[in-house]
Amino acid sequence: MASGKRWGSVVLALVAAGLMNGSSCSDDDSKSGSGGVGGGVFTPLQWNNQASGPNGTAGAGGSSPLQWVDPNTPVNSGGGGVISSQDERTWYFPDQYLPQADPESPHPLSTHTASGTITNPEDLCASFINAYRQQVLGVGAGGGFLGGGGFPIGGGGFQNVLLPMHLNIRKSVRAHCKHIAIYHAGPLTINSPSTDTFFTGGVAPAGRTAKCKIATQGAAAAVISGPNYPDASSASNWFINNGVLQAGSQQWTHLGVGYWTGFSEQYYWSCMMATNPALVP
Amino acid sequence: MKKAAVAIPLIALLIGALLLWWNAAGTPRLAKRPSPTANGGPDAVPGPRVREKPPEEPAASPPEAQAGSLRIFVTAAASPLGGASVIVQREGVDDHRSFETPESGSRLIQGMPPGPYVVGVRHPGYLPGEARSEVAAGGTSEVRVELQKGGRIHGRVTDTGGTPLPNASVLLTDGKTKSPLGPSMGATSDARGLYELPPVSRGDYGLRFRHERFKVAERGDFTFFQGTETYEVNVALEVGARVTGRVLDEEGRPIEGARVMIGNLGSGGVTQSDRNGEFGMYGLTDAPVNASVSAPGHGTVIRRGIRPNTDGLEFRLPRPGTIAGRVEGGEIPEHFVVILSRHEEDVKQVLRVDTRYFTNPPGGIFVVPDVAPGVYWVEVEAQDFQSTDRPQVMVEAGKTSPELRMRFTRK
Repeated sequence: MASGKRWGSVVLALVAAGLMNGSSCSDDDSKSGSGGVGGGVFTPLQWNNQASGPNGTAGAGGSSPLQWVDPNTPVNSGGGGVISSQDERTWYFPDQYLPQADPESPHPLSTHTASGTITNPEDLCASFINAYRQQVLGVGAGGGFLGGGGFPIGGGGFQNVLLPMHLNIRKSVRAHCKHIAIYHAGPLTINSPSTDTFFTGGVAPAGRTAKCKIATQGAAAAVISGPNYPDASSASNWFINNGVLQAGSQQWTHLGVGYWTGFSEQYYWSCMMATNPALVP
Repeated sequence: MKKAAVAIPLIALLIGALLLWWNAAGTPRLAKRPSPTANGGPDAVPGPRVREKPPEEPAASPPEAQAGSLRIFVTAAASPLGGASVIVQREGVDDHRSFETPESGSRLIQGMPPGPYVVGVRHPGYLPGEARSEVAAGGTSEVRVELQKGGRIHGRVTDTGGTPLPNASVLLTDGKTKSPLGPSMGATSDARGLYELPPVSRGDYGLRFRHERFKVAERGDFTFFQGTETYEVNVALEVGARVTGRVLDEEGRPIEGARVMIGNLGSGGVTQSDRNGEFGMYGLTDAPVNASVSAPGHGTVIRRGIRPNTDGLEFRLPRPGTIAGRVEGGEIPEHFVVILSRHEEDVKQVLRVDTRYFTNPPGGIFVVPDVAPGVYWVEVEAQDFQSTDRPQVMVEAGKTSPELRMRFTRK
């Protein structure tokens, strides 16, 4: 009888161990071997549509065929998930500016998103740029406004030092980042490979901002992309240290910072400063 | 009874073994929802969406029957071009592949999901090229990219004594706005001070030369009518002024990685303090500069009118407080900026000292951390909205202000 009790204890312990093991597994999907996309036998697979990163870079030379590696497989896990966004204006819709273009061309000209993955870095980059402007245009900076720079509370502030973000410019420069990321390959360039310049020239009506019905009395834009600019700090440092946008210039009244992530360059930044932007009815 | 005493433990043992085997074999379980941070970090609010595949669904590339192939030919002057960097991007999907062309200039890619692709090609001797192709299921498409020669800008960077300057940055700038056209249109001088920009297309351009120890130099009016012209631009950079110092916390310990902004209208930039809290900004003009030093977990310190060639500046960053508030109104702006102002004793004026941007904050709540102790006026501005609230708030170290309520109305 005592022996039976011992057997019973052993068996109960085994059963309990089995149950506990099963219980812990059911709460743990961390067995993925490849960056959270999947790969462990118990891991629910996730469709990951943002496969930047280790996406099969082949070396030089060799004439053997390359095998396309689907980014949605565990061996090719990548970046950050689908970014929910809405292209409010594209190369075709709602205004057909490019008669020669595919009537269903989805290339974006103005992109709205509520995703913090995009808006938070944009906000932070704009804050850094403004902080620098505040410093070089503020009181005491040589060649600036010695003795000036103060403002009465409620009096509108010191003109054109701290720039507000213009929503439509922001959507336009964000769309520029998204456009190049999704529909082109390689570094972000100031002008669209779709034959249009950023805010002047191009096909009628002139420039990308004009296509978004934004009129300005002047504007300057700058872009950077690539793995060296993963965050707002590195991006704003490049903009500031390279004199981009004449960051200290007082002629600008508004600012727009756009960002996108994923794809061949991983990080895309576009920044534009403008003078008195206004929407054309 | 005796039989039962043996049989019951045996059955239980069998059940236990089965349970162990069940788990080891990877029996499908209910899928767990991904955590909010699984697809984009802590800021994934409202966040990108992740769709899950059923666990039993294979995660491999598409079956051969559904896949297609693409043969890419890269040429220049109608001859095969090796050594070109190629990126193949599946349109609209974060799915790309890069490789370098062999001498034949041709490469075949197999196993591609059907759909539209764009092929981008770059080579140091040519303008970038791009072409599109549609990959069909079970078929092999072909795409050719013919690269064109571009204009050439090259030269040498030296100091005013003629000594070559390596590691000088040379950037192509827009002819009108003088804004650099991005790192991809730049070059760095070599040990002999020599540089050559990537090929340049038609247009009007300028150049911006920057070396961390020298003043920035700009050159302009380079017009490429045909896109095949060559300009040799040699530049001698002048040594600039400097400002050096240390960043410390309240207890005098060095702060590494503090963001140090120093500049005036003609020069300056951003740098970071090193592990000893030390920093240096060089290449400044001779005019007075302002400095602003910040670091996470510390309050920002601002100094004005610093004379160039000042060494040993010390910035002690105070323990910060936090300003919290909420925007209210019938309609909350999608995006707004919080502006902090305070009376600055050194200039006897009220100055705007900080701005923080917020987009779609839940409930209109904003939090401004890392504010140096003091008395601030708080303003909130938003496009197409107006607010007349400008409350004053006392910020104390380690404390969060009472929640401010900022009312908005549409203009």
